[in-house]
Amino acid sequence: MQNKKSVMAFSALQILIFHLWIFSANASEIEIFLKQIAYLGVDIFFFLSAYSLASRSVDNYKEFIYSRFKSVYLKFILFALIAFIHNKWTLTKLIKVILSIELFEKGGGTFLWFLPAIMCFYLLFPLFQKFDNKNRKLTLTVVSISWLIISCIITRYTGYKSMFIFWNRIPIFLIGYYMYSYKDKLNIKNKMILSIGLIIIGLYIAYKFGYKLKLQYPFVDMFYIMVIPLSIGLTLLVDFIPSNNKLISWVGNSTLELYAIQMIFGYDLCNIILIKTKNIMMTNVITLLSVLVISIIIHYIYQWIYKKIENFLKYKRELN
Amino acid sequence: MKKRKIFTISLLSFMLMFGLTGCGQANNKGENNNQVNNGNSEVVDNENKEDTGKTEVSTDGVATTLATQFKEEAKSNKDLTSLAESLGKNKTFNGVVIATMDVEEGELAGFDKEIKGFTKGVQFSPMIGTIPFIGFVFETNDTNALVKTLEENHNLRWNICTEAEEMKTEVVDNLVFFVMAPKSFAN
Repeated sequence: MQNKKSVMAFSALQILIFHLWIFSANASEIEIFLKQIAYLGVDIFFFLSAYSLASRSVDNYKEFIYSRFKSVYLKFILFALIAFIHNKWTLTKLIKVILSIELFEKGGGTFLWFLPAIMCFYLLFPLFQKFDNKNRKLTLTVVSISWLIISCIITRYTGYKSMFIFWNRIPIFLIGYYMYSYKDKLNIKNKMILSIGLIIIGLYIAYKFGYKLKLQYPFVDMFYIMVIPLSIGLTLLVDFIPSNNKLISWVGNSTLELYAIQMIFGYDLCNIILIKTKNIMMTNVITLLSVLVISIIIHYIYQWIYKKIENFLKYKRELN
Repeated sequence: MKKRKIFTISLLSFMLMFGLTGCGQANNKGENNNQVNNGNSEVVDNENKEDTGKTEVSTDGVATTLATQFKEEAKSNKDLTSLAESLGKNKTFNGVVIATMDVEEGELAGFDKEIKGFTKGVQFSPMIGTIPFIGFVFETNDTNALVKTLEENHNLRWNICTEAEEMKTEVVDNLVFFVMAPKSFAN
């Protein structure tokens, strides 16, 4: 992945559009389709996370989890506190959100579900990598078959559906992890051909199974599996876009804040702008730009504060 | 100097954000919802100042509140579009802008299979698509069959990353009301 930030920026924008884009009354089928399948920005994030993890060897579990906690979960907790105040949550809800209990109760309906979900993946990843290093084929076979069996059992014998929004992202996570091994085997031409091929096939599959009627067979939310080709195709294609551009870099660095701000304030902001402007296109542009700008600013402020605190703590330790 | 600039910009951004969201909520509590008419490309401030008297915020959930309103109005009003628009003005929506659109048999948002068995249908839902609410009013020759189809094939999680909390159907004469909604639009 030569231009990870470009892919991250692209995926974050897709998710933003999925959440906040409003159709005009005369919206074309293409506009509706592109917006309705923009959820696969999440799949691309799972893919990228796994791809990045594959490049490192987790030697110290505690250190690994701590670093993931600092970069992902700490921000999640801070945003949960903001949402607690802004949305007038109960204390019980706040605790459930922070402890990821709500993730398993409500799945995609929980606050910033992706963050506790990816944290669960991080918690299990070192164990997975340990077995993968010992015997790749056996590990992949056992994980795949277990995933399939558990999916079918839960679908068939329980009414439990909430977990499938992240459970069904295990395949693309695995693909991302294993694709790292082939990173040097694809030259530019083959990568382009592969990406375009996957996009063409993926668009058709996404239209049939992941758009209006989302495939729920043989297990719940099967459609997440069906959009994997399109997700990978887009990832490979967008990876050609250089990420040394400042704007791409800013957006790519601020994806977590972008996610949080759109979910906490985005709906209210969008609704207010819509009422004030009474113009859908203007609402879309202003909403998206506002959320982007605010998110980027918050990201860099957070980085600045975090660095100050880190330096202060380091100074204190040195004094002692 | 640079730090002061950053601080000022960020403070202004926060103020803008909180100001917009805070003021908007305060203003919207006193207004009926705007409506978007099908075929127009702009939001229409439709009968915004009129208080029908039937749009008091109920202590019931959103679905029950709307079902009650439907039961009252559908006895005398058989026009699906105006029914849907009236439902969309209910104060239970707490300022969320609702749009209406005609629908035909086939793939409807909110369901895992194609929905057939109605002659006319109107969907009413938030313009911001990922708010977990969707409602329909249908005209049909077989209300029981349609209700059964709707109830068997609905999916509270059709919106992927948000989830409706309840589903309700209601029948008045040859009209069927269907809604999936959160319990409240308070947040």
